[in-house]
Amino acid sequence: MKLTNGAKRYRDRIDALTARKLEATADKRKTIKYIDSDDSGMILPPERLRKVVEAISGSGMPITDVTLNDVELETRSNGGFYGPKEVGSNFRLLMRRHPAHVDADSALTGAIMTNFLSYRKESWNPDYPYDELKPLHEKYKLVPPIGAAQHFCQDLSIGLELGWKGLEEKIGFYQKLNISAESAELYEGLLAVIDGIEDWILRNAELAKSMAHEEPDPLLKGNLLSMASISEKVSKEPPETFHEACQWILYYQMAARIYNGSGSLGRLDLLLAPFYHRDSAMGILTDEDAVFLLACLLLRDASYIQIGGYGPNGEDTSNRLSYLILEAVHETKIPSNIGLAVGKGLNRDLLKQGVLYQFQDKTGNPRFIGMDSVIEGFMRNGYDYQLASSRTNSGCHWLSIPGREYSLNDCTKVNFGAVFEAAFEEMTSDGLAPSLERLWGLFCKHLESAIFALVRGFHHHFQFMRFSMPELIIDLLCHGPIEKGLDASGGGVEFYNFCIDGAAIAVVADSFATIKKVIEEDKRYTFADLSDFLKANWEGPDAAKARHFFAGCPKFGIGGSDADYFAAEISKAFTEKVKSFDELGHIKFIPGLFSWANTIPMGKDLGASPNGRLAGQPISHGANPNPGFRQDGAATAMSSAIASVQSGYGNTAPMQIEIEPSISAEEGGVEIIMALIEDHFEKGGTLINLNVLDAEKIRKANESPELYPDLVVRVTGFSAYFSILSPDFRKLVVDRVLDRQMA
Amino acid sequence: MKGYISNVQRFSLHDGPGVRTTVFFLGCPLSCLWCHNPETLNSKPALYHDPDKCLRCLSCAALCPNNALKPNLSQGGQALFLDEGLCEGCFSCTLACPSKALFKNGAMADSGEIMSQILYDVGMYQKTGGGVTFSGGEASLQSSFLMELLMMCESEGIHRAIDTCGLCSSKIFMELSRKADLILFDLKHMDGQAHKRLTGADNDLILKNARLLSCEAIPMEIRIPIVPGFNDGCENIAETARFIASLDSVQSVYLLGYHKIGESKICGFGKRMPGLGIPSVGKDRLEQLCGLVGTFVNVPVKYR
Repeated sequence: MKLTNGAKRYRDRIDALTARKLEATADKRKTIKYIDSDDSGMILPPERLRKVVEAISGSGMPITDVTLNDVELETRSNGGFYGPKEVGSNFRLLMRRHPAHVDADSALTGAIMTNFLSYRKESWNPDYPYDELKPLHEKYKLVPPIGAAQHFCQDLSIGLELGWKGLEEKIGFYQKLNISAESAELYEGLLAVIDGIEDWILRNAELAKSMAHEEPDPLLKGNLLSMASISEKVSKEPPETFHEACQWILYYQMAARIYNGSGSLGRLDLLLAPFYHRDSAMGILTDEDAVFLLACLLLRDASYIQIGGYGPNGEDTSNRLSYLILEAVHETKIPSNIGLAVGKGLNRDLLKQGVLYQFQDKTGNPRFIGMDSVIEGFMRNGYDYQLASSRTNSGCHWLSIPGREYSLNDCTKVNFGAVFEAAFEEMTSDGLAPSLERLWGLFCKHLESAIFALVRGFHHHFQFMRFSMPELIIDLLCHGPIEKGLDASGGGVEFYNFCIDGAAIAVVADSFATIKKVIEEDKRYTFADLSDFLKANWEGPDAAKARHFFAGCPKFGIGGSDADYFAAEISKAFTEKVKSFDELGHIKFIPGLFSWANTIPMGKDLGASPNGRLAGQPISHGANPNPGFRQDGAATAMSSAIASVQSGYGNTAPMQIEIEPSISAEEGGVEIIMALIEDHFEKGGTLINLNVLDAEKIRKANESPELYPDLVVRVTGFSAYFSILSPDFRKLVVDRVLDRQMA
Repeated sequence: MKGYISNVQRFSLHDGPGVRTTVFFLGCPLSCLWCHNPETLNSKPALYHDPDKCLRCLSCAALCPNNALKPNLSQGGQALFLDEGLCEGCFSCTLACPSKALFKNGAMADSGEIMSQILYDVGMYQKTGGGVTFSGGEASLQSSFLMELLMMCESEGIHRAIDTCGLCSSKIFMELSRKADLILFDLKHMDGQAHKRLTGADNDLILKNARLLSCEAIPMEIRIPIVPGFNDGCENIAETARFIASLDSVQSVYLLGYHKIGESKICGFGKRMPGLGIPSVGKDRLEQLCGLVGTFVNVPVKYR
């Protein structure tokens, strides 16, 4: 379904909108330099309103950001604001000042211009300290869960049914039932948030209306008036048409993004289906209209969306909208995060279309979710098929049951490299004879300590997060928080499946294997020698020579090597230890392997590794082997390796793969990539982040990023314009590209 | 059974249909001027040295029991000198080389080990109509070893292709070919003398073997390397096409444009493949030659 230049000039309008997105990206590049995370579609506020600040993102990463300089929030003496009442009232304050944004070419109004979290100086409420955990966080260089925000998925159908007014009424109803002081504060916060959002929506409506008066083009004038009336309506009422539903979802999503960076939409093809079918049947919506509207939605926020998937009885749920969502991405070629569900009982034609667009667009979209593995895995936690199949891809590497599950996905990382470092340090300093066996034992001991520190962190977070930063936006569309008067972070929803990810598996597996070969088998060096080499960061003539031996051993991914064995053992030990902290019926912990954007900072924090890695270099990415793991870099070898280290409880250990096809889509390239995807999932793989790309273009773009403003890559779980990434992140992508090109 | 191989390459997309695992055998009866797999030319594992990777640490020389390795530190010279008369081929020196500048090219491998690598990607073969390709070098030089691998793959139901220059005793060649599903058959030049000049051997036996494959209806893909100034004249290509047209079991024809990949490869102790000093073949020229071949044959003609 191509966008054309018929009466509504969709093609021209989308071109104009994507050009303006590029201008907005250039503006961000000029003002805040680099953005190493999701492209939220943020447009910087007008220059006179900007203030550049250093802040911490909703994903816990230090960022440079822009705040509105005319907004003063009410903070405590430490510069923070905590609990639903303070947070809600401050968010209302922000939204009342958040500029409206209307583009006459778009069909949807509003834009994200700022991040609420960047207005606070201290994120965690000092009334709930966790000083006893901090030394453990430091010792194991953990990415702890305490204070992490969002990373679970609301159920948008609640909002689409009730609208903002209905949500206010629902809160009003339960406010009378739950009369505790804590619940009262939560309701106050929730109502304040809605109030601020409604105010912002109405100002968007007013702006559209005033622009309509000035607009000479009759088509755009009509469009502006239509947008004004839709915004006015959805500021209170639930949406009725497909157009209104898109606008409602966009407002909600933008508010959620502004609030704490949430970017999860879920199964948009199912959520919008009733509106699509109704409007199509009435003859007021063509497929081209739908693609245009979806493109307008994605242009304003590249949220995580799943297309296709299983229904509660194992049926394939893909529909016409699954294709139209793909089309919208294809027509815009902007960063986007579409997770295409793949499975034995699912629509292969949709998969084929997705792979074809990977070839045609070279924007790293869509990504592919191995539904059979994640469902089967999730059921191992004790859940039934119906629940497991409803778990939806809605983030970088994660799935969540919309509106019913709180997980802090992708927020908590165990750096296996740091755990190894602690084990090696203990072994080489305790006076006992060192050995590989002892090293493995100590690694397992420290791994357990690191995980336990995180588990304690989760409990602390569960108890106190709501008194710091409650989930006031996602709460609105969950089953439970309003009904119980309890925030989702602290018991408001049904299921608590906290995500614990391991990272640097290849670095550590290769390190164990090389110690076995070089020290224990060849006896070329001793543990004491290695200790000296690591302390010297492999510098000096002896260490530099030794580094060649240690780095030259067969790596994880080659197949059948010691490193492959150790990788599987590390994953097994990690999984067993994480699962050992499950508590019956209350809180569960689910292991996965993923390092996300932490691949770089976690490496910066780490000393040299026995596999020849230098101090400060990035760790291995997610579950991937180290670059250069095989002479042929075979995609199938990588696939087998990553499938062999899956934890198997429903969270993912993604395969991040860059392929420059030496055969075209037409010559069978599509079928080969489809086979690679399906084969990986049949082997137990869970998620594939794929870039079909032009290696030469990436190389050139790395030298002069500004010359390639529209080049889009899937960096890790997220996709972004290459030009806005920092040099470190560009290098991460480039190194992967150079390492693996299709045979 | 054991044999000598250079490498096992997985996810190979250009050695037959679908996704394949290609096993590169050591040893070749030809010595084509443009060889792009020079690491397979020796029939047995050999000591190779890459001066660019050498750290000049001389750890290797100290380990050699016969003092066959000597420093050669003259300016501009190689770091190492190998006295081939003294070298017994124990390869212990390679273990001492930290940077792998000194390495054993090729290895003796057990058919079981190779099979375990081949079996990794069975799922991919099934999905894409792929399989295994025995290449080289010239796999038929190690005919017993090849036969065993062919039979092992056959028993696993894996599609088998042999990539061959065709220079092999006809009896052995046909026995092996009968166990394969597809023969990737190279035709380098139709003129016997030119063939000898370019590859070191006459083409009589090669052409005979191609005809035998045709007689027994064994499927073939003909592969013609296009090397500018050596074999890409229209006369030779037309002659080649006429010959292909006379065969009955050819399924497709591939024109393989010369590329410089072989030029940078180490092909011995401190030796690199000499470049031909010719450019890569342009797409236009390949399309033109495909058109020419297509006027003679009734099967798909492709290039890359």
